[in-house]
Amino acid sequence: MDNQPPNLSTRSFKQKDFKSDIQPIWCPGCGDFGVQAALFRALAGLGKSPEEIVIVSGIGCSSRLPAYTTAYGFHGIHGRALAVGTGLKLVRPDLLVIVAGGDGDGFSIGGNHFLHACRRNIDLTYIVMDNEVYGMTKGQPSPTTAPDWNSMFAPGGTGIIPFKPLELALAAGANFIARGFYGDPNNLAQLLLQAINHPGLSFVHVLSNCVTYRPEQRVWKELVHTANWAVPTEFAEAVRRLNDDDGFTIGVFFAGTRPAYSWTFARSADLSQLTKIEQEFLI
Amino acid sequence: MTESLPKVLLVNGVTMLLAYARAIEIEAAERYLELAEQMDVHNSPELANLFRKMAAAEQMHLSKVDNLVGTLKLPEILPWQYKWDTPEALETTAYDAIHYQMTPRCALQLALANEERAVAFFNEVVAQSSDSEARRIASELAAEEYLHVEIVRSWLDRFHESDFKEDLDNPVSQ
Repeated sequence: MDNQPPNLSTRSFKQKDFKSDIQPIWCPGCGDFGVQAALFRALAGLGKSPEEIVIVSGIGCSSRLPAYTTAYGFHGIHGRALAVGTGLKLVRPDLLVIVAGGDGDGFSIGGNHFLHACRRNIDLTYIVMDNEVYGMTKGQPSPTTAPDWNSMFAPGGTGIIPFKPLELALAAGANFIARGFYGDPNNLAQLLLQAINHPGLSFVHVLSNCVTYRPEQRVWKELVHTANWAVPTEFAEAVRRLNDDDGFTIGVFFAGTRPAYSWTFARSADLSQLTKIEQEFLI
Repeated sequence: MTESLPKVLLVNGVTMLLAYARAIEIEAAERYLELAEQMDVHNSPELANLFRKMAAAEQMHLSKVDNLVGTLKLPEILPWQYKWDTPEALETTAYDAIHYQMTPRCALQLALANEERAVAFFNEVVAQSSDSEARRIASELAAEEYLHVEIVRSWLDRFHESDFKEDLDNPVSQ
């Protein structure tokens, strides 16, 4: 009897191999369907089996993604997807860890984790499906909502300037920064593949419409345009590109050369000291 | 519809034509099935049934394409390597064309546009390919697609309601 595990990566996969039997409860017309299709296409193109991949999320409409895939999934707590993903990647570096969520989960509740995940540069791919609203809780403004968006929860708008996620990621140290669009799943799949294959923290900001609370976002498909530059590898050039960005440029804004964080530093530490400290906490 | 046609000159020979034809039918069938499931979740059985019928029609068409493929070895092409002028394969309904308030009439109009794009595509191959066998097959596929166009048109004649129905429990107003 052959006890050797199968060489999983020699199998070939199709998009539908990554789709679970659980039906998404997203609203018909939701941009997250396009992101899901793009991600599953990218994973099929990557050639890894579902058993080699983990999708970690927080809370929100888009954070339901782990339930909809045959890959391993971890539907975590609000804003803490990157913390869970970081821990997982450190103890299981053999797994491909993808972290996904929305703009509220990632930039508000999880804002601090976002900054430090970029700074640490763990080898993760972080996909934020940004619809500029808290859809699951019925339409409150999020950190990326325009200041003049008038709604029942913020009559006249919040008057607060929105976050610029790509600038934040670059400033905090992310090693790969891109923007995609839900309405072009094939192009987004290519961006996701690039992000997954790039070492370190890869941040992919996806314009993903909320058909229910932000129906005006349908106009995005008229506004998006493809980046017409060679991928910036220098920080200063990425800053210039982001400075000129109108928020609808689709493409890669930065692909840095910083090596991903590894256990090298931790391994060089005197682990017996850690054991000693842990023993001091024993009751 | 010609403004949304793919670069048909890339689809010159038989194997490339059949690879494109398979991609068109597979993606269309899978998407219709996915849309049917979305409508199941949102308790729109009429639309779910309609999308399932469309999926079944595309599946039948795929079987016919597969018969044409026979033992031919087709090129392996990743989804984003096809040269569509639409964001996805040209018979695939875009996710954002869907809405929970849509009516069967609206769904059929989308299906009609999908089928018409397919007819135009295969007719373009007939007009432009230098390969006589590819032209013959494309002509056959265009005729198949045109049958679908006629069927969808006949279904459309049965529906005279507006494209979107009123939501008596509008989520935005609560």
